[in-house]
Amino acid sequence: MTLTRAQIESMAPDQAALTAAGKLMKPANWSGLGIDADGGLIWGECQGSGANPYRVMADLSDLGSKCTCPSRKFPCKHCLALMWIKADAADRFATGAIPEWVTEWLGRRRKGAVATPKTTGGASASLAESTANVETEIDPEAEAKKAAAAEKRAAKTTETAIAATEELEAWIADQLRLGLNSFLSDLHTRCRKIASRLVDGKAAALASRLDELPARVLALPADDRVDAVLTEFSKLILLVRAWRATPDDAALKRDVTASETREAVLMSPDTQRVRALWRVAGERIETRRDGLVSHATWLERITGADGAPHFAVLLDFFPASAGKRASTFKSGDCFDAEIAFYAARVPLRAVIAERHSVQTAIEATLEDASARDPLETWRETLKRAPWSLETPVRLSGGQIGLDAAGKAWWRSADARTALPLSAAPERRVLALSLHAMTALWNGRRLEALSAQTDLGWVDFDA
Amino acid sequence: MRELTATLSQLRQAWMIGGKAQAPQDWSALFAGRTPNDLDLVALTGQAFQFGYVPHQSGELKFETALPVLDAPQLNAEQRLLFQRATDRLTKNARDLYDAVWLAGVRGYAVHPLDWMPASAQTPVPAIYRPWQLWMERIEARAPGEVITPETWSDWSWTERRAAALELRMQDLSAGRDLIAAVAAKEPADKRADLMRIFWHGLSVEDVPFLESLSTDRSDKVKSIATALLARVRRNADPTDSEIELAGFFSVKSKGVFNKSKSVELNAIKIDAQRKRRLELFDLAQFLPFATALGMSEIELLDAWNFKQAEDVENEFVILVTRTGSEAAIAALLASQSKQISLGPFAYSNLISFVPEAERVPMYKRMAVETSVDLNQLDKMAMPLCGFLDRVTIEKTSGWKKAMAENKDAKGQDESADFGLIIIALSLGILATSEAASWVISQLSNPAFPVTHPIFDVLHFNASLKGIPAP
Repeated sequence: MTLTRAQIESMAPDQAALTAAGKLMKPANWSGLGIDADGGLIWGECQGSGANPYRVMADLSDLGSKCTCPSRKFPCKHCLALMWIKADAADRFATGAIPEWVTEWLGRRRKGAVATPKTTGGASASLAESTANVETEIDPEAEAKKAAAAEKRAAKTTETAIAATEELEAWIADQLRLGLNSFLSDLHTRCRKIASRLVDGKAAALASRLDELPARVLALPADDRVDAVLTEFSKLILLVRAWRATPDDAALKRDVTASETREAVLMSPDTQRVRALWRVAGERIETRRDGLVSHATWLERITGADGAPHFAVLLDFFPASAGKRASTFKSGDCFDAEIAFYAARVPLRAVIAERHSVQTAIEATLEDASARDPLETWRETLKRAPWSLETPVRLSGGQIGLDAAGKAWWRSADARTALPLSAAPERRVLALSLHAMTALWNGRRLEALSAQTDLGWVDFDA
Repeated sequence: MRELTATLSQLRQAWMIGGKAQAPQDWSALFAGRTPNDLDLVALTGQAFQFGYVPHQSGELKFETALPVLDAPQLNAEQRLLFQRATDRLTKNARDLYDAVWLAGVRGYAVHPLDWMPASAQTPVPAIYRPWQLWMERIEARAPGEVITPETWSDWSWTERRAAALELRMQDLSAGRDLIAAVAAKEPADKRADLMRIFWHGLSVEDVPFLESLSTDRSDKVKSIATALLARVRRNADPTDSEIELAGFFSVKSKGVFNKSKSVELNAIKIDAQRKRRLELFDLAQFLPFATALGMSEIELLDAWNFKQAEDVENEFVILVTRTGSEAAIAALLASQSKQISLGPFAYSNLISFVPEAERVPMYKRMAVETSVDLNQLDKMAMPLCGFLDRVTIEKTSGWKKAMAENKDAKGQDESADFGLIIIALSLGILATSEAASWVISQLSNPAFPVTHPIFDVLHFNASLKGIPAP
């Protein structure tokens, strides 16, 4: 099927979308570009600003398209770019079997749900103009000016954020002075108040952390809450002091103000990259108080170099109003990929730099973790980054049991270690003998992700 | 360590009530001689809490006994993924999940316990899962030796009560009856009716006094079940008002000139209320007295009955025969159907449990080919017999011929044709043999529904189950 530039122009919701699509034409942005045997369907995965690639697909018979990005524009820049590539460089598409996620979309979609071409010729987006815009942006003088302005803005932001962190310390001192009993009884209001101040003070990451503090504390038994608050205050104080001492430290800056972009991570020569077979250990999707949905995908390294991180987390945020998003991966999926880690004292957050193989479900066997003290990983993390909230751990064989109060505990096979779980799993899970378990440890409770058992892998979030 | 714990405890105490905490003397070195403020102390204390925290689990932990290993291979990772796709994405209700479980069981595979586990009292369940059911029974069970009695009846949950009453009835008929007789009045009508159904196990004349006592029960449903049970053990040909009123909806006519025979025809009704009343009467009636009310024996009535008059009447009539008819009457009805299948799917599904197991598959195959039964209806009826339709049989069914005719021009398909295709793919996903499932995918796929389309997930799952041959 022939696709023309004119068709793409007429579909674009505005000039900005078309210009943005033009920037996505580079081969580096795309993987798995494919076309079906009839030439009627095209698809590909585009690396957007999120940790997970966006899945983009289009039906050329009626120019219907779909993308997993959160954009409200339809079609979005990714769909436009996919079709634009088809129009300009059709040979980049490899003929192949239609992926399952495309057929799923086909099954759901109603024919006719396509972008409506604009009728007013004068207002329609121009592909030539978009291409020109892309080209004009490579003006070095303009770029230098932009960089200087950005640097100035960053300095100003740092100055404001430093003041905000000082205000946070004063707030913590106030809470201690007024008493933690009183703080716990007014947890939501007080945390919301300081979180607002931190947003005003350009310390958005800290603000989110304070906003989520009540949920973390209230999830614990009442007896543990005072210690949990003191621990969190301790982490906050150490974090803001460390950052004020080195405000350009990328890892600290990420925890205080905002994260660097995915592109910055991939462009940096210092970025740690690990090529290995990775297994999706589990995912956690939470709606935060600020209206964003946080989607964490935990990966566990199955093969690869010793000394490289055992775990990685792909972190995406999108507005809750954008509705439910389909996960790119499913627990248990395995894939060969190069993972690029955000700079950190304990590398964990990462993005997929390149995926080399199609994901498949395999019966991966993890190395025996029985010789390791599960809490040692946590202590090591704290030594290097004492403000960490949690760490993934690989536990040795054992079983989950219930205490007299009905609370669940993981106990090692040698019965020497027992760790409490944040929630009791189903009874049938309690009957499984665990060869290994992957979980998140937050210093007080385990959140089980998945486990290897006599009956294969089981996912706790299933 | 004990000193540190005491120090931390003092600091915590101070901050809990509010105010300034006193820095311990021996901490001054940590702050290079300067006097630490509360923030310094909290920073240090919080870290001490984290490093020093060791979860202390006191008392015994209760572990579940290990799930028994089943005497059947478990679905491998790839099959499990296909199972999850087939059951999660398109077929979200429990019935469809159960069909897929049954299909795996027919082929000799067990599903993963996290994908599905039978309830302890669930029937029918593929025999391979019996060890899991026993395991469920054990973990649901009370303390060893604890037996349900009328006095302890209310201490047990409803599921436990019913299961215990059934077990008792199966072990000791009179003890089961005495228990139910003592506690039935405490239960609401629907649960009372459920308890009455337990009497089908080992029904005998010794149950008659209790069943007769239910003639004054306040629930029509309970009375109806008790009457049906009584009809089984004590054949009474005298029609009651219900049977006489029901007979009034039919006329006995003579047909033929030389070999005269009788035919029971349905009288026309004028208003919908009459139709509803007719259905109600079927629920209350017994087959033998109904035949008597029409002036015939059970077998004569079956010979004279004109099927295909109205589907609801046909269904109710078959239910009446199977519920309250004699064994000879049920055998006669089955014999008539083995000569020529004249019943609709629903009526047939009521009769099938009386068909000997070895004869069920051939009968279903004949039904699939000889009648215009929808494959979807066949799927709903044939659940315990999943995976038995071979390619030759499928090709002869009217449902398949229709689907193929519509599928020829895939591009011109409308939404109803698409819907038909989806239904047939799902139905055959459960009904087809493994080989036939692969063939069906190749026949039904088209540009709008490529082979990887989710509508074929159940068929793909079926095709992956190459094991014990289907019956």
